[in-house]
Amino acid sequence: MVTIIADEGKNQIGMELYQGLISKEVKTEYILLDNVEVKPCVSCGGCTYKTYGKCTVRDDGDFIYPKILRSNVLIFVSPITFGSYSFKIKRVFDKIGLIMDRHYFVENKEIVKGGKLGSKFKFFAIGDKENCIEEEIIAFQNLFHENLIITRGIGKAYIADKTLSEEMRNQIIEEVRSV
Amino acid sequence: MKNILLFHVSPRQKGTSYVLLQMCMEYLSEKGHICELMHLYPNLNNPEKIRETVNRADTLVFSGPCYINTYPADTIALLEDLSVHREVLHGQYIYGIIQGGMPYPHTHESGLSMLEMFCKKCDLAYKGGFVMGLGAMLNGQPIKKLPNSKKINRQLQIFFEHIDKEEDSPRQVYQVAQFKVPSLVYRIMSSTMNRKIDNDLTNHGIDVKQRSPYFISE
Repeated sequence: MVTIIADEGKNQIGMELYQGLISKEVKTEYILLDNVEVKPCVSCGGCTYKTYGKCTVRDDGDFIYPKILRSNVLIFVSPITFGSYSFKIKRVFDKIGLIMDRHYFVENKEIVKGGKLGSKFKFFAIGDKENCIEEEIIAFQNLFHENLIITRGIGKAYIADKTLSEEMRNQIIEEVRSV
Repeated sequence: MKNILLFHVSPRQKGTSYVLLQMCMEYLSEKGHICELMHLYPNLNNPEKIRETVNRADTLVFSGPCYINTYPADTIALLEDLSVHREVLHGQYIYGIIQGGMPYPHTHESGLSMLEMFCKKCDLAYKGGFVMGLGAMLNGQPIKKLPNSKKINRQLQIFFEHIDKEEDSPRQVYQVAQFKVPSLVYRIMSSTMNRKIDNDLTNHGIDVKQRSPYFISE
């Protein structure tokens, strides 16, 4: 299963991709963050000692993290915000450690964290470059590259402009099916 | 003499980001600057107060932890709020401090890039930052506990001096402080840390091999 988590802003990039995946019979969940609230990670340590592997705060993360955990592929759709993810996407991402292996590994001569529990972390991000300066796109791609390193993930970042071209949509679908 | 706002953007009030910011404040206060320290999280519902404080400052120094390669989400919300209230932004000088567990600067540098992009879009002067790895080892203790503390301390003083003199602080300032060991040592470190994690959990009565509660709770 593929899970798309989208902060769409004024656009519909995540929905366009969702429809494309469904039309190709790829089982897909679409989560729009408009009316979703994931409270901030405050590094309280509760997910270690109080409720191991689960956030102690009850919010919409309660339905989001199980979906990510059960998915083969996670796709974030986010307006590029100062070269990073949007606030809403980042609130979800800040707690991704909840469903990741806590152990350390050495890859490419560097220490990295363990990746997703039980399977490879397959991760894509689509950054919407509307209102962006060129350097933000580079910063976003660098950030995504670092995300893959730290999570031992595989995947790719795409840059869209307000909408998904048919070519990019098909390319993403192919990539998602092949990882 | 300048008005310097030391903006603590970590949710933990007395963690490593705070230790670094306090060192910065001590240095700059001794140089005669008027320093004000603000914590973001207790003021999340008080954006007016944040904006007023930002407006008073000539220089801002952000300090926070690295959550999955950049500052936490609420720093993004803070920057967005400031960018839509441009009346409080008047060309201030911006510096950043970001610290995280991994020893490599590249893991955390996207946080500084985010500040730089914010500055470019809001006509502020991004002047550089300081990345410190191994921050999680400290957990709010003084930096002398780090294996590379002498280097870190020396380079931090250089960084603080740049802030004092309103100079650009290049990447090399923190890069030379990086904790560097052969990859074999990293292997030993990761095995040691993994054993520590497992023992700690076991001592708390937690089964390290249990399935994620999220598998059950959906």
